[in-house]
Amino acid sequence: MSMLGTLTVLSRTYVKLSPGNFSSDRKMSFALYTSGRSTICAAVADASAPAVESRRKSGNLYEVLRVNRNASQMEIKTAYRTLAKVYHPDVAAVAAKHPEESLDGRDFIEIHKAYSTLSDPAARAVYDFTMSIGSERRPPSAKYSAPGGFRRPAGFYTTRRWETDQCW
Amino acid sequence: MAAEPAYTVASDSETTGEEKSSSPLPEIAIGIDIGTSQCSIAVWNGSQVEIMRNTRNQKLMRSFVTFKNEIPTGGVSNQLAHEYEMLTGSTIFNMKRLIGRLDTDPVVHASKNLPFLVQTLNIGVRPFIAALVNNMWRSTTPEEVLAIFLIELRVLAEVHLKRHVSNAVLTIPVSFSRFQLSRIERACAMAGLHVLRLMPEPTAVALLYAQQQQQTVHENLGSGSEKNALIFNMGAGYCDAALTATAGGVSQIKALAGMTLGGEDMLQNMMHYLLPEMDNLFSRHGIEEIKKIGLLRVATQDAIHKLSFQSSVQIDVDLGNGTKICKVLDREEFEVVNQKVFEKCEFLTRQCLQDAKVEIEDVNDIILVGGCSYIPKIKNILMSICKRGELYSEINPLEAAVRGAALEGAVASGINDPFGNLDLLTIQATPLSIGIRADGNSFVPIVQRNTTMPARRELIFTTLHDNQTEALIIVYEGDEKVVEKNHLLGYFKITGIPPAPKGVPEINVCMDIDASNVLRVFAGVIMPGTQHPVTPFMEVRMPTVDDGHGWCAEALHRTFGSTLDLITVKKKVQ
Repeated sequence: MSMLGTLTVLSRTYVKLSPGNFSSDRKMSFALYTSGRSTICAAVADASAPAVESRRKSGNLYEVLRVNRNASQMEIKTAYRTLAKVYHPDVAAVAAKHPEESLDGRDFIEIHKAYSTLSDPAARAVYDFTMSIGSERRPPSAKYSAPGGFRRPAGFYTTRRWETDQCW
Repeated sequence: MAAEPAYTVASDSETTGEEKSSSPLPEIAIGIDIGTSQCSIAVWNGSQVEIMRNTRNQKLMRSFVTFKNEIPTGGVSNQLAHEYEMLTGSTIFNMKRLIGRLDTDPVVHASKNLPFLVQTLNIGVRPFIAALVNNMWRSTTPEEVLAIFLIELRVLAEVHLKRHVSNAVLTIPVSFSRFQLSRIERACAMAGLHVLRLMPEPTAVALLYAQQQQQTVHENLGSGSEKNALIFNMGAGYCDAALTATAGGVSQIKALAGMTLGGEDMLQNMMHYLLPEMDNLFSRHGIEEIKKIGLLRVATQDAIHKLSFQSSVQIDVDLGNGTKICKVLDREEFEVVNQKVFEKCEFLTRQCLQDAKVEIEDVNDIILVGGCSYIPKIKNILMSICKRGELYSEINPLEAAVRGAALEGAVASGINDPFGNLDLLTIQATPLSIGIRADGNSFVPIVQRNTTMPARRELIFTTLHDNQTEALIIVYEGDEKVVEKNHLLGYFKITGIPPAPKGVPEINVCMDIDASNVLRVFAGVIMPGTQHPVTPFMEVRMPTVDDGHGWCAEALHRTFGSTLDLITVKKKVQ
């Protein structure tokens, strides 16, 4: 849950920083508009902040899906679908309990990223291995890179660049 | 550059929570299936999906508009005295095959022997389409024809529901480009309809399947078990395949594939087979020729329909001037003449399975829908690919798409069902890759096809020349390596790149697709060693191109050459 908190803070902060003319736009677009801005701002902010910080908060894919480390494929699939029914923008827009948090689809993108790694036995094995090594800062494959996406590497080429052209 | 902001109207369902609670009931969006040959319309009536009937008690209405007098009439309200009335030159149909296409498109060229005027000059503008009214060609556009038709559908729904109807979910072919989708949206706007969702046809079927599965699971007390379904949809104009993984009312689209291929192509093939000199005979395209094409068309269509249920059929048609066709046609002949069509169907299905990374053994159900699903050969192809003896039978092939659209309409309108029948979700995937032109004349995808939506992807590019201060971002959609073969969505320029040796500035291009399939492209420049973008990121909603854009890319190339080009940043080897 902490990662969601982090994202919300980012969104809110940058909404203030970028007062756009979204009044005429649709609600959905509004949310995305802000998220788009915030991502870019976040990218900038991230470069100055310790990169590991945000990753640690949201990093554990098992926590994203809210399952145990030894969860079965069935549990992972069920968890993904259950979360999708809460965080997918189609549902979240309708529920509209926390519109500024859930409308931009960012939560769902994270959930899907976690799912796509953990539901693939090979990718999950690699991920588990990396996790067991411990305080590795940069995972070898960006398939399970920090959620949030679109965070620019801080001035040098990191392996995170990888994820951008990967299709999973 | 913004294409048509006026058409993104705020909808009732997307208002904030407070506003929502003040209005008693949200408007339930209707589902519309606009087919190349037939249309239908349905709505969630509070407990189930109901297909609306017109005054002649029809659920399926022919998609056509007749320009006889001052006021054009469409197939919803208009009753044709006979099929031949559709072939006098005054009736426009097949608009779904023509919408959003340029006069260089082979599909438009193939439409030239339709019994109305389709003229192409091959210059990359919209084709000249016209109906014959009082011996004069009255020009029209597919958008206009579709809008007239949609107005009739909307009125039908309003009479039926006794309320104002403004929100709709429409089904669309998988292969439609975003430019074509924008034309559909424009037609809807002209008809006073706000588009809540444009749903690829097989994904609407997938949603219906998800609902059926959920109901079955409720009965069996099972849960969590995932079912894979292969959906193949073929109508008069388009052919689509989808693979969906379903559990608990959630339909995850794993892969989509589609092409412009349908009953119309088989009809054209058969007409050419029966009358090989057809194109020459009809090239003058006067009123006499139109009548003859019409006669041949009706006779051939009728024969094809019969061949789905009988092994041979007698064709007798007199086209006048001594041209007579008297022939017994059997099913094998039909299958040989259309062999290429069937091969493409097979290719599409295999591609979909491959993209979904699902083994044939893991496919639980094969769902065949659309008008062409009655053709025995199509059934055989699917069953042989999937090594299965039977197809899923719980779905009406002609009503599946519209029912799915109506379900999505209810879900997207925020309707709850006490029995959980609307506890549904479709997780869509992008049917086509989206990318930009870079590395010379290559298409560099940023969002790959079959990426789950919402999605956000970025890629870093750099300059091609020393001291290059501007870069052109040309956005394309498709899966061809050469840019021109893909659909142009729009272009914009990034300015203010600080002078630097080539390869130094980082041009970051990010694409964002939200759950309602709105595409935004962001681009900005970041210099190495700095942490802030040089200029604020530019954000553009796509598509931006308008009619007559066929020559845009060419003109850009002629004007700028490679001076504003970008190249991809090579991945660092681990």
